[in-house]
Amino acid sequence: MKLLQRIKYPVLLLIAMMITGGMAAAQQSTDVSTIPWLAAANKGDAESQYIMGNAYASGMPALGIRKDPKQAFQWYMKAAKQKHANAQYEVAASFILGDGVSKNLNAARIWLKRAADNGHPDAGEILAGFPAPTAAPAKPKVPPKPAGTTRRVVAPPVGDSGYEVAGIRVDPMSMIDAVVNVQIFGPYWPWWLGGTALGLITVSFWLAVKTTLGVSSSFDRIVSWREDRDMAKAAAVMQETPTGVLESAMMAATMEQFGDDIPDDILLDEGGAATMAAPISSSSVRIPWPAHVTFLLATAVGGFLSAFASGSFDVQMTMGSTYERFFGNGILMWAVLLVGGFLIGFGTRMGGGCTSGHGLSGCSRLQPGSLLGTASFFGTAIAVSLAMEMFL
Amino acid sequence: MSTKAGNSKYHLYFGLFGILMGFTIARIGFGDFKEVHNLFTLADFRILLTFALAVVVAMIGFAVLARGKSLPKKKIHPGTAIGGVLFGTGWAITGACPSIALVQLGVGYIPAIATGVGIFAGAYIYKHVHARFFRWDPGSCEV
Repeated sequence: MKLLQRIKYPVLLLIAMMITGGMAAAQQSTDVSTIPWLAAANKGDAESQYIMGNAYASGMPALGIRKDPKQAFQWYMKAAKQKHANAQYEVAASFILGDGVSKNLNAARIWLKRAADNGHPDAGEILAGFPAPTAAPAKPKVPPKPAGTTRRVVAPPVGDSGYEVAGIRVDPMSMIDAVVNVQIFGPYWPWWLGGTALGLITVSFWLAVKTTLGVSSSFDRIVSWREDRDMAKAAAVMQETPTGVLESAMMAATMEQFGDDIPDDILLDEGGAATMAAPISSSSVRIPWPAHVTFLLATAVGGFLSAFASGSFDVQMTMGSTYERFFGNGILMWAVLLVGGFLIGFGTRMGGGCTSGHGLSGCSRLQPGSLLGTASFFGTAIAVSLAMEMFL
Repeated sequence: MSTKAGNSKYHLYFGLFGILMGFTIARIGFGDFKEVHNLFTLADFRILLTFALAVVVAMIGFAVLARGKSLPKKKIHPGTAIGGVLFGTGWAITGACPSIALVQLGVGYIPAIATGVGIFAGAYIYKHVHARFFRWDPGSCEV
């Protein structure tokens, strides 16, 4: 395969990176993955039991754990019985909120007291505001603890006591599972993985097709398809016509146009005719425009594959909750997107590049135009985003 | 390169790299407005680090593999900064750059179609505006 031969160095580098990065990720995943906790939790490690409780309380889709208050309560209870202060606090909260267990304020008070005795920072304060203990079941006025303050936060178990127990166990399958599910198809990629991949794609693209990566020029080439076609025709004519005929014809045309003011370099340059006749276009001169259509469609397909593989594919008529906070999901959203898109198309062509053309291909070669362009669009985007945060 | 074989080779290469790039961009989280907004409000530096590393990796790659080869130059011209300001504004309010708009569509955000239409319209209008009013070299044709 010619393609493989051209991009062999980036591919080798990517493989090396995946091995080292994968090993690092596996190390990390052994800490994060549920399997070691589960093993440790089943062996009776209180901290691991507490982590299991947290995992079930909020749900960790990447690890295949669904939100399950009952399971969460049971794990919290196991840890709480071993005098784990945070777990005791969570047990109390579950009793207060009736989350995974039926409401029981007397039980909640008992666990709050224990949590406070074990040094939980918030338990004492809540206990003080609790209705006084009565033999008869008291009717509380207010649930003393608002849900979701410190509760249900999955603590990263890195460096936890559960690790030593799990550290002994080496299970290659679960490690591969953790790498694939958590690192590759789980949440968004860590910076080292995404950055290396994006950088290598930039270089490989040039190695493979001999033009630098630049998506905005793909848009440009597609809207210029008619010129593209004419240029291709002209090029075909050029190839068929003998060079001498062509040169004299062009010279005659040039004389007619400019008279005697022809710059010397054109007259003297042997390859002048060819240079002048070369189609003046953006970086990708030789690529037929339909290939750019393929490129853009393939980009969307790549996005779909990613979303599908990670299970987050979801067709929706909104741009997500953060976007709705600013522009809603109605006519305003469509208008802003259309205007924004226009600014992107106009701006990238005016500036001569976008994130890929300027930011990646250009900045990496320290091109002055790209450095200024990238600084300009990044700076503006930061300013506008901060302004949106302030005023919308 | 106008032969059929040449064309299908380009379709293959561009298709392959398009998929790779779309996949990578989506995995980075660039297609998610929330992540992009967090990047621009400096609430989360993950994507910034990702981008910086990508530039460094590409820099090393070009330095090693493209030594002595002629690559397109990107010169500063009057449109560089102004175009960047327009693009930056568009990016902030849509969460998209030209490739991200398609990735957004791919991961399921249907309204990104409007962004894509806008980009085509903007590129098309600019082409005519440039030919009519601007005198500078849009760049990169001097290989």
